[in-house]
Amino acid sequence: MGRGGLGQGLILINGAGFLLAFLLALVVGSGEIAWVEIFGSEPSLGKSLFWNLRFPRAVAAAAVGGGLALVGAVLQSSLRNPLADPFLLGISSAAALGAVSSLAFGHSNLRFPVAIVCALLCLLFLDRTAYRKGAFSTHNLLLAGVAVTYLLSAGTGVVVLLADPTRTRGLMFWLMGGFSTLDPASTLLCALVVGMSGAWLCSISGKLDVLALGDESAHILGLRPHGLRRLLFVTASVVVGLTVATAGGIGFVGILVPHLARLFCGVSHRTLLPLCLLGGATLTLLADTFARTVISPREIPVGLLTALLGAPFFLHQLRRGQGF
Amino acid sequence: MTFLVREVTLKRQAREVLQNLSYHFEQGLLTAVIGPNGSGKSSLLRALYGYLPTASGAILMEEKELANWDPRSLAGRLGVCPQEVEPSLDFRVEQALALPLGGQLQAMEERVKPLEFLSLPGLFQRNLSELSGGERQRVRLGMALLTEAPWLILDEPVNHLDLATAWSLLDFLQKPRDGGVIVALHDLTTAARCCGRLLVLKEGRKVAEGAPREVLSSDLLADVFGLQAEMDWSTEAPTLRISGIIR
Repeated sequence: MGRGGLGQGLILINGAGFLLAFLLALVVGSGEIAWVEIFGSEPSLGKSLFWNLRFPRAVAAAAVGGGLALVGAVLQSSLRNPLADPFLLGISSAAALGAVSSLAFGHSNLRFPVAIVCALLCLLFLDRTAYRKGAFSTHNLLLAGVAVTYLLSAGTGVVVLLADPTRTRGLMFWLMGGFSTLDPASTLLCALVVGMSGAWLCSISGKLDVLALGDESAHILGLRPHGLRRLLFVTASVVVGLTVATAGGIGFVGILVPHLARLFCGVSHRTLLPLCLLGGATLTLLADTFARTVISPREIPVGLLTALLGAPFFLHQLRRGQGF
Repeated sequence: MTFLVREVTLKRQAREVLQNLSYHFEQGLLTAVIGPNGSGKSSLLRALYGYLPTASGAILMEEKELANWDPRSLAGRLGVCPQEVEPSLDFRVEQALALPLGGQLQAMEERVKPLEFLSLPGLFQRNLSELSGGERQRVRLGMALLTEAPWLILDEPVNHLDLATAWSLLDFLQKPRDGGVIVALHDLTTAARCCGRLLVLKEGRKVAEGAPREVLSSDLLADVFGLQAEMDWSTEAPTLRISGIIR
């Protein structure tokens, strides 16, 4: 196979896998749905179940998973650090604090804008902290991110404690991450934003490659790194804010999928980004399908599942010495 | 075609690393910036490719201030090999080499052909993380040279290279070109043999400039480099003879 062929082949295979996972998510679940009902004109329980619950849920899982993997890949390469991930940098915690506050005080519709604004404020603060004496320090950024994560998680804990006890259980489940409470409008918004961000990032994959060489090398090749990195941060905040407001904390997708994808296709963004988008979506769809069926009618929070599967795999890779 | 430094002062944090330097890099010449560690060579070179902003003064390339150049067209006029290699993602060598050409592998393979002495094709399929120091330096040089930019700025280009590769590189740099070549060097013998002009820095100030034969006097070697030494110009290939260190 030629050089481009291998990457294209991987994307095709992953695309097929994604479609299968999506179909599986639509077909499997409690309650029998006949296919005639779904596209029929008469209103029925099966039809409503499909279009109001199962379909939006599959779309949300795909969008959230794809979005988190995409953001993880971009953060890792633009910061040139294998640990960069929305969760480690505190962006998810900021979004979670915003969303939890909105939910706890009964303004659940405000959780999307509030989560995005909190994520953005957090990244802007980290960006300012990372510039020391004129140079961008990734170490500073990551250390500040870890500190911010602790601070904001504590803040979220305080909000949960202060909240109306009747809401607490729902908040906790939501914090662990899951797709059990969704509305079609926000799902559509999330899918749209992830799709558009994905398309934009793929279109600048050449620039992302240059940025991944380091600031000085990027400058030499005619790219001004600070401006591009700010744009990437804004994109990351919007995507993370939306995904967290939609599904809470789905851990490890943002770090696991990009590293897995790099093992197969290398670091070049032209194939990496589509693979992350598809891979993140597939993984999260499968995890969610599993989470809602295996002990049905009860559900496992998807965030727990991705962490339970992701962390051991990740440790295994580390011990095998697979590099960044 | 000129490269002009006009009364430039450079600061890193609050410390002045270069003070009020004026210099005219001439077209068609290989100019070496020499001086001991910490004399401001790398800072000057970084300012020349616009990475380190000037605290005062101006740098003009082809009659236009560096800051006013469109970054992409500037990158097309300046091929640069920096001294410090930043940690980067683990690209395959061929991918890294193609980045200055917008990722086009075929164009890259064509441009690498005249750079035979760097023996790059043998490295194409390896990853950057697997390379030795010298191999990595060859890739960095390749990225600078295959742009075919008229001006080259190379910070200690022979670092880590074996002698044969180093000499082939210096040979290559002496070929006539539209612009000029600016290098930072430590080896004074190399500077004397290969360079048309020398710019000598000490503690951020210019202390001498001109042709090697005019510049490299015993007094200067003692004053700037702390060497009890003299340049032997009697043979075709001048040689530095060091007889002691002055402390």
